[in-house]
Amino acid sequence: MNAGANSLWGDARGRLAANRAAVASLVLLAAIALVCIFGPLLGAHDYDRVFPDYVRAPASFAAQPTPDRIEPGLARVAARLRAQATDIAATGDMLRVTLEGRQPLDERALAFFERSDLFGPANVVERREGGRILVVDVALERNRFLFGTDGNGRDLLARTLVAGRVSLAIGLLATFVAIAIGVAYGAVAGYFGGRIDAAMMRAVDVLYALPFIFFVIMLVVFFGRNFVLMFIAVGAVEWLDMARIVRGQTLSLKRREFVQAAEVLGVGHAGILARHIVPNTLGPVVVYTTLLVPKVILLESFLSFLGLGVQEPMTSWGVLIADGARNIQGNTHLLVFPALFLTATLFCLNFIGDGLRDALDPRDR
Amino acid sequence: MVGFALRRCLGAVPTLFAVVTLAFFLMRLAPGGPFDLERPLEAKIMENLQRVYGLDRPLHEQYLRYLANLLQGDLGPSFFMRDFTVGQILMQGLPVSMALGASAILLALVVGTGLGAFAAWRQNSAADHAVVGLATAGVTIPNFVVAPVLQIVFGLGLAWLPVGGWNDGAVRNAILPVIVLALPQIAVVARMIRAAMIEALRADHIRTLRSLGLGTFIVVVHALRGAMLPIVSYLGPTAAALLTGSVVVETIFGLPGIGRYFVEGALNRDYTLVMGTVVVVAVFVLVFNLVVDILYAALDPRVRYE
Repeated sequence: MNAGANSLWGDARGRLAANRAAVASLVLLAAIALVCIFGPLLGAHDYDRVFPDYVRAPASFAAQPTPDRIEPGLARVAARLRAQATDIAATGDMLRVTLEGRQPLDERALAFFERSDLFGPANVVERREGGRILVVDVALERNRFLFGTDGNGRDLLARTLVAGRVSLAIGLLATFVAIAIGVAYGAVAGYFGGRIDAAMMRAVDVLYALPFIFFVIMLVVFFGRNFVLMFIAVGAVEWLDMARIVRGQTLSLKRREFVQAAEVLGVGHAGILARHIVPNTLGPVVVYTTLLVPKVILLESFLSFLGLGVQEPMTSWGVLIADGARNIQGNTHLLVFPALFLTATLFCLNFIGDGLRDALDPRDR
Repeated sequence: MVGFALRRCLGAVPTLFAVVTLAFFLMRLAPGGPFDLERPLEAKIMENLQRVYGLDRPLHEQYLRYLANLLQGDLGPSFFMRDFTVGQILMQGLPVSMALGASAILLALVVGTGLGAFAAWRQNSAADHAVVGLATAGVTIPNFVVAPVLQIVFGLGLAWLPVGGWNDGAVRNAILPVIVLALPQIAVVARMIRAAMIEALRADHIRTLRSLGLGTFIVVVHALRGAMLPIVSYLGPTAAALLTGSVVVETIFGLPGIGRYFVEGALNRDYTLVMGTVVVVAVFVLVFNLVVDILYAALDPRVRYE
């Protein structure tokens, strides 16, 4: 071990770096976070753009429209023109089509080509029989749906990435709320002790005995299905364990010499709590935080699964998975991709949490 | 020990009272009421309905009346399922939830302990790593992902088991839900047992047993006894949660347990039904905390009844 790195955090960093699972998880998690944050900016499609012609397209590397979609697509557009499409010849991304109607065709209706998700604008190359037959050049509009599309024809890749932003943001924000409440509550209860401690911890017992789902649902009912308030509601439910952990730490910390020294020097309660108690509880708090983030993300997806969480067209991994679970027959891609992202993230966070616990508390190995 | 148990029981009464009070007023503070429909009822009809259910009285009076009824074991009529009392609804659902939950706990204990003990005995072997990896997977993969996958594979693909339904408690129908319920618990139990066993296998008394040449099985059983302690405190709250039903599992498999009433009741503002579920869960949590305390004292002679 490096002789210079002998502070608690220096040692911990060294031990964490030696933990291969934790390091790999950190890298993967960072990659997922970066892709979710910046991916939608690079991606071709908006998460809420509907492609009516590509409902439940399977996941594939091939560019749409695939050859088998071209002919039915042409037939649909031709029907809008009251014509029939014949003599289809494809060269690269261009099609040459002959449209034949009973009466002269209205060329303004060629705009239907552009309105379809399959084609670009159409140019008339040749008019025959007084406009009853048109030969047109049409560009194919190439789209790629690496993860396929959902039941409304929206790009699942774009949706999964945007959902990742939402889920990760909820995880972080709600965890922050929970940690802030839990640390403050636990430190105060443990530090003042006696009746204050007994009363405050009894309140925690009561909240523990309340069915957790009831509590969350009541909060959702109160705040409506509001995005930001959801974070806070989830955070406000998850602080109980944190409060217990910090209280236990504080009980032993407050008898230590440095706290007595601070008391002798005339430091006030607030000063001692802020300067000496809370910073010294940081180790367990950090470990618990990394383990709380996946719990919160799971809770968010659970609420979204029940339809109480994030609302359409906004989305989160929970919303996507719920949708995938409903459509699992024949459309497994709707479940597989969001579930992969979610479980990979949860895996990473759990390994990082375990690694941090080992790093910060070598006795516990 | 009887005195200890009695004292703890009495100590739980104020907590239960606080839970009931908190839940009652939280529920009433929520906007909307049980008879608010998309198309509003006529004022006179609304008034009559409110009077029948006593909702026209001042809130504190309703609260006192609810407490008085509760003390006599009367949970009141359901506002939404009009022909049933809350007691009847819960009595129908609770056995289903409890049967599923109890089976899941049993399965988790047996499989989890086996896996954990095996992994600890072969620490750092490939089998050990496999168990740890599986345990992490069990904790991280959400049950609403596992359940549909199992339904597809075993229900539709292989057609071994029914996809859902309760079918009056047929074993075939219970297998998939019990597995889904048990998986995360198996994972947690295996991890805890493994960690505790590794510690226990290094203890002096185990080394003595080994040096006396006792067989593997006997040594493991002795080591397990010490390793069971953390499991007991973990299982208390878990058992309370599992026995009172799971919203997700009951929804996905279409089971008539009480888990779904938590969500349904709160969304329908079915005040009495929600209060009923709250009371049931609170009683389970408090009872199991008590059981854990008593078991702990019985398993670990160092813990004394205060």
